Amino acid sequence: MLSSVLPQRSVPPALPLLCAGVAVVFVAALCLGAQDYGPGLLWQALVARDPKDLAQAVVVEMRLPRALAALMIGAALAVSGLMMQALTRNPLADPGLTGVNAGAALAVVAGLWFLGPMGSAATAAFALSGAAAAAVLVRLLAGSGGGTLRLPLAGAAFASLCLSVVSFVVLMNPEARNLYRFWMVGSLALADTGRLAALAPLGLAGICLGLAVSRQVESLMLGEDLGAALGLHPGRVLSLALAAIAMTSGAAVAIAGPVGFIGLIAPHLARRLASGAGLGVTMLLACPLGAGLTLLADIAGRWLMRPAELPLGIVLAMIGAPVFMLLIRSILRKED
Amino acid sequence: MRLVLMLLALVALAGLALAAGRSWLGPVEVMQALFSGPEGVGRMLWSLRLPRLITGLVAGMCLGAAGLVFQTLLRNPLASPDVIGLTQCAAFGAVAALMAGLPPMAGAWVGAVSAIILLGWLAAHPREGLAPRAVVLQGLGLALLAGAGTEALILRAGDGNASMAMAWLTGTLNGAGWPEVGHALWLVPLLAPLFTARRILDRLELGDDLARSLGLRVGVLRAALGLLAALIAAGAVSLCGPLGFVALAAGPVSRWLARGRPDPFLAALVGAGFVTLADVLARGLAPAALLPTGLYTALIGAPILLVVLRRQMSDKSS
Repeated sequence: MLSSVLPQRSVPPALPLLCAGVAVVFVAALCLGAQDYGPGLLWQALVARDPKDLAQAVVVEMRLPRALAALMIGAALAVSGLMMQALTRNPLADPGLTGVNAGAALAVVAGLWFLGPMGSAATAAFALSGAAAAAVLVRLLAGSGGGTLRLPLAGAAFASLCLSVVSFVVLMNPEARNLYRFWMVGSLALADTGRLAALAPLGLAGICLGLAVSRQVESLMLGEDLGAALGLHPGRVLSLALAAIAMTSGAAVAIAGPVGFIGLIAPHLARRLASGAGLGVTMLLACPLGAGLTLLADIAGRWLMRPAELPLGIVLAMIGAPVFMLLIRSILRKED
Repeated sequence: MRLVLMLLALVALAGLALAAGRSWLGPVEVMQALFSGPEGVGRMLWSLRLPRLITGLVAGMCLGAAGLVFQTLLRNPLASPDVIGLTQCAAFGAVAALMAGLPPMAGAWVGAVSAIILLGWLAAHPREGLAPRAVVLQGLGLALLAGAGTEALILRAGDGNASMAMAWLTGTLNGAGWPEVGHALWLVPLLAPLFTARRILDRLELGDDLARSLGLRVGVLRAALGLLAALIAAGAVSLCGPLGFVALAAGPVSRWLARGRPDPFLAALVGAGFVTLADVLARGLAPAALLPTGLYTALIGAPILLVVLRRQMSDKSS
């Protein structure tokens, strides 16, 4: 009786393990690349930085912001995906698949088209508003009923629509073409310290907001009546949850372009690990999972074809699409 | 009557396509150039614009008909070959073949046929058999996978292939010449049987049980129609890359013209008109930029897609 009222263990046992795993991958991301360095060099760069050493400069000035950006967008997209899945009651909702990322990307290039090259803050503002509009649209699409499987289809159509406008704008604009060729398919090639410093606060705030409203969202999704009985304000909770989605997706897109599938895979793995625990616990687990997966995908993209690199979005699609197909298979079998 | 109007519109568009470009021709000049033959005045028309027009027409017909057939077979107005991954797999096959030094058409066909087999295997349900919605959703995943694969192949091929990359990711008629027309003619014998399938599609739409009781061999017909449609869609992709939204939009538009009935011939005409219009825009609006035709098909197709989505939203049953 008492155990059903009291919250269960507040920190899931898998969390420290996951964080340790992410730390290992993070170190690996700093060491591996077009040129591999040992961890000794990392230590030196950290303790006694030699400004003339080229290898240390590569690690500190290029790989470090990039790895931090991977951590940030991985966690942000995981939160965004999980929140979207909770709101639509649909395990297939993902900011990439439903077109929220594509909407944010569209807003960014629209800003580029009308205003010319923008600073990080303006980019963030455009990405945020685009993601917010798309998230509301997704919620409307899902809210109109039609079962688990309509949302991804309508979302894919919407996403391809946004992305074709994105490529149109980018191709019409020779300056943008060179700069955004890789960003368009999702890549960390543009991630540098300035961009990260401007956009990470937005993403982190989105993650915190997501964690903070997770319990209310969960109650609300049990039924609006029940939620109201618990003293919730359905409209307010919903708009906070949508804001969390827009902030996390917007920050991720402004840094790395429309990256898909992290929001699908990380929450799915987290749900398995959390085995029935609440939305908040699942979200806590999804953050390191998403961050670690994104880092791994970025390492793979830089390492597989070095010195050339495979953009993050492509690596993730190659891993994520089969996962998506397996998920659909299991959902379809379970449904009847 | 509608068919005649559509044909007239297509002829007008074709005339416009011959006239449009970096240097615009008047109607008299177009006729003069056409009748003067490939030598003399008509050289530009005969060597550049005419083959490009024919390639576009055939590709558009293939995509339009294939789109309608898949949308009807899968009972979903969004389920065109470019949404369920067939065109992406065909593009992947064509690019892989091109890099291995093989003919891209063969590669595109292998890609599309393996996509169909893969979809059939992935979507098969132990009891229900092949449910349309399972095919559609698995196809969605397949489309993303094949798109990423194509992009990776192109990146592997190294720099300097940017224009080729654009062709295989968005579709373009830039560079279509008489050799492409020769390839396109191969597709006509595959296209013709689909034009006669109007009755069959009509009855299949009544539902499998009713169609069976009308004496149709539903399973065989579905497989045959699907295979034919996949082959022509892949053929179109091998000609000019995956022109976005043509197959998706031609189906609903042709149904609207035919009062809700599926008519592959009409859909083919709509598709051909669609591609021709997009190409006129691509060459007329910004002739210097050489933007891929696929961008314009996407821009025209997008509003149509929005209408389809809206209808789907208000129709709760699907």
